Amino acid sequence: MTIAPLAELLIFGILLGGIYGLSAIGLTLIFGVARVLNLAHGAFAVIAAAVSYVIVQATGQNLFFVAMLTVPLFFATGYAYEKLLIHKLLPLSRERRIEALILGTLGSALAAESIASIIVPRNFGLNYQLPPISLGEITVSALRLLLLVIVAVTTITLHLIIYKTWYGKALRATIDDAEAAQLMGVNFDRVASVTFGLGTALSALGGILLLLVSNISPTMGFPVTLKVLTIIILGGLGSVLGSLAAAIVLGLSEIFTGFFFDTAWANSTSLVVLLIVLLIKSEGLLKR
Amino acid sequence: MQVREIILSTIVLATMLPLPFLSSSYIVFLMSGIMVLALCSLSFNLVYANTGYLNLGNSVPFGVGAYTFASTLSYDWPLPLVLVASLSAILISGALSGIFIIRLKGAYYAIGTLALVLFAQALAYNLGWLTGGYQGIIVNVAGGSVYSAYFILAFLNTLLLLLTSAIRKSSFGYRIRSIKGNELAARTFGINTTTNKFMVLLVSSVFVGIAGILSTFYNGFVTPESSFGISITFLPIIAAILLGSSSIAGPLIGVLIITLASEIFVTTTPQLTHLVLGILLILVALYQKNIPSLRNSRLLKGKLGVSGANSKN
Repeated sequence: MTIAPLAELLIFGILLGGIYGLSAIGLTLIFGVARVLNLAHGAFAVIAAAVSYVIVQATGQNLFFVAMLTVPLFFATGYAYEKLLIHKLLPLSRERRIEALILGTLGSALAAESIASIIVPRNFGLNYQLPPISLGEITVSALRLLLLVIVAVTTITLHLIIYKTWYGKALRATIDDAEAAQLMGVNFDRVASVTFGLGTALSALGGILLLLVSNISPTMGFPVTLKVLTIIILGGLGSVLGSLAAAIVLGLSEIFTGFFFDTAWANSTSLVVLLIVLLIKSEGLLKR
Repeated sequence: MQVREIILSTIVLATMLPLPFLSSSYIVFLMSGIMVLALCSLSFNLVYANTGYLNLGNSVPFGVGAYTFASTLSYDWPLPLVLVASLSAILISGALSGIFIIRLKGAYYAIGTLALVLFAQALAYNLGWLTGGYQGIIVNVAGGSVYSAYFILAFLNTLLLLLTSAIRKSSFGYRIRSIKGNELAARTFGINTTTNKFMVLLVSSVFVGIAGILSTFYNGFVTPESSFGISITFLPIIAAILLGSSSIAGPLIGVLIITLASEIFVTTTPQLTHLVLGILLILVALYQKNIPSLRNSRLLKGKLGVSGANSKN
């Protein structure tokens, strides 16, 4: 095997991993702050992709312009989701809370999936033809490079938000110890709402970018949620950089599974990885 | 078993047993579907209400039972051998997945069991030579009918209800409920929590697996969707939680409510079924505490209060 296809696979794997990583960082922040296993996380990515796809088809606009509209829209959706649903369930007693959160997030996932399959009742995807870029022997699709840049810029922005702003400080404090953070003057409700908004917006962006990379099925919400869960378990619940690293490892293993074995098994890679990790170490790989 | 539960079960059985002789085969078919889900829901709740562990992987034994039954039948094995093979497959897969998930705790338990479901689903889709892939397998049992399945299902549901009730009062019941109360404390008092969790999980898997066999038997087919889809993976869990998991008969009524609600939409506006179901779940999550008549009714309330339903921590 020559170097050229290997490099292409490598770039594609890193890109796919980066896209999963965006969604995974969203979920790991949500889990870190509110300790809520948001089963609707993947469904939000799918519905964001479906909404953007429909707008692109209807108006003929470029997906990147449409994303500037839909990503903030899903920030608002996540914010409202926390305010109207999750926020009301958190004060319940422990057992009731677990049951209510399962019912609530599962219900949201089903509703979101159903809406996605009503607006686009089939598999969907977009493709932009950009001139390929040649680096010596290696030819790379410019579109994939562009997406890689978007993922990188988003991650760096996110890193700056988390480590350089007041909100980021409050976020990290809440993840470490919600009670102590509250005693130090952090408004937990506000941090939780904003984090749900941010996490959902990241998941939405992941879904929208995935439109340009592979076909999306309106019913793939649960598989996506599980894939993202795999990533945050590999990377350690609540850890941002760990999630990104785990996502890239997963993206690469999916691409290489598809290349060396069969694309039908590519989606099961994350499951196998997850099952093996849980078998070896029942509390996740990396501790925060 | 409580006196009122005996009365309740007698009333339910008395109304159900003559049903096939009085009504159309559609009603019998619908009721059989409800009883398949009820069996899954009761099995789920056997684990959840007693140990507090959230097993999202019920459809794994269901699918193993359904697929083993269908594929051995399609190879023209005689029926007794088919049943022996299916039951052994259920036991083996139940033991294997039990060994795998028994050490997981809390959210990891739920995630691990859900991962098993999606992995089993991937196997069903991808191992086409064995499972028929997307189309699944069509089954034709000589002399099989929805009526015989109906009576077996009614019998099994009653058996499971009685068993659940018997387990509650047995020392085994106290042991597994102590796991829910505080697993560490239970172990400190010399209870082997791992073995007990494993046993209750295995019992639950066997009943779900048999539900899978029966569902294939009267439906006449098995597909990845019919085994691992939302209706088998999530509906029984939702039904069990809907009216509060601490009651013995709660899952039965939950299944009845959900199936009838979704059946109305399946026949009128099928694409809205999951949307309506989703909204229903959100509403239940939000307003469950405002339905005291449902949660605290004498009929549904669990008698033995070790469940820790009121503990705040």
